Amino acid sequence: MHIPDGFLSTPVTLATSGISAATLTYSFNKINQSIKPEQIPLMGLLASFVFMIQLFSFPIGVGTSIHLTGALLISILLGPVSGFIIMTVSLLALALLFQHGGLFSLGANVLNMAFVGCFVAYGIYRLIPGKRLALVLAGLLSGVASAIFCATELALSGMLDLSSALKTMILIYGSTGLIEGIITLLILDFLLKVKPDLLRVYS
Amino acid sequence: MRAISLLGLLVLTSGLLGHGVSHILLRDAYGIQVSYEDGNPLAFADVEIFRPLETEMEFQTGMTDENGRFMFKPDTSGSWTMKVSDGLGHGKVIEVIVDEVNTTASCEGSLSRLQKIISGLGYILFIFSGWYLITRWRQEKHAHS
Repeated sequence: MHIPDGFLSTPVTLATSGISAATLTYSFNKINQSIKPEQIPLMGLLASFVFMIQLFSFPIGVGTSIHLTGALLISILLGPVSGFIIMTVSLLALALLFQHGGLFSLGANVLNMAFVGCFVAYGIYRLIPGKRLALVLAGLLSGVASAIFCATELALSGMLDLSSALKTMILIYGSTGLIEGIITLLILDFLLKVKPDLLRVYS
Repeated sequence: MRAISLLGLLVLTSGLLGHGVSHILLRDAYGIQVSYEDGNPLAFADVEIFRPLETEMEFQTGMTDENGRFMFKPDTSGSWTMKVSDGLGHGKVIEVIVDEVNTTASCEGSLSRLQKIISGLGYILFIFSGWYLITRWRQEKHAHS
């Protein structure tokens, strides 16, 4: 999912970077109007958490390995706007130090993981009634959406064949999303017991 | 791509079966071994190799072995490009510098995993502490005026 440099064509790189930069500007302006300084250290902590959780990948037995993103959890805890900024900072650190995604393709990776993982997932979560079911479905469907975004970008750049890539990617990232949804549900249930004031939306 | 490389392999080996063919043993090939962050190899991943300054026409295509390894023998000096992709959006573009005498290749040297993790956490905390201080300073200024 972390697309490296050299895989995307120039138009795809420019388009995805443009969308991601516009979303980042919007998020930053929106949050700067209302944020209390005390909330920022919590965002920093969650960004460190997201950075670490993305470094722990586990094999799934078909020659590749997956990891969680934490995007769903932070979007529910702090809202999708803060979540997007946190994810973007973490993805930047991952690209700079671990080459988890290239610097030129950062825009595409931010779009696939931060935009979809936060805004799309949060939208699905709010649309579906029943908070627990909504959470698991938000994980699953945002995983599928990420796969569609990623496969389309690579196919538009001529790296792979869209239909066969979609099948594999939707299967793998959809199941990753499902696992992410279930783990997020467990974490939120735990937080609800020990620190309910942290949860603004989930209850 | 895999189908094409398999086909290529079949075409090449069918030639070996049909004619008397001589061979020499090549040495000093350039090899890479690619793995995921957790240490698992990118097994059977597609590999494309491009000559220096060439971006369209591949010099060679193929796939890594089950240990994530791939070897090739460059025929000219310069900066060669290797693209490795597992077909799921993971992969890497690797520059291999081949010098005149054709014996050494440079690789990106690096920090250990722990050093990188600590640096990453440092970056993140630096960004958010800076943001915190600026926001507080702004709000205090606002309150005074």
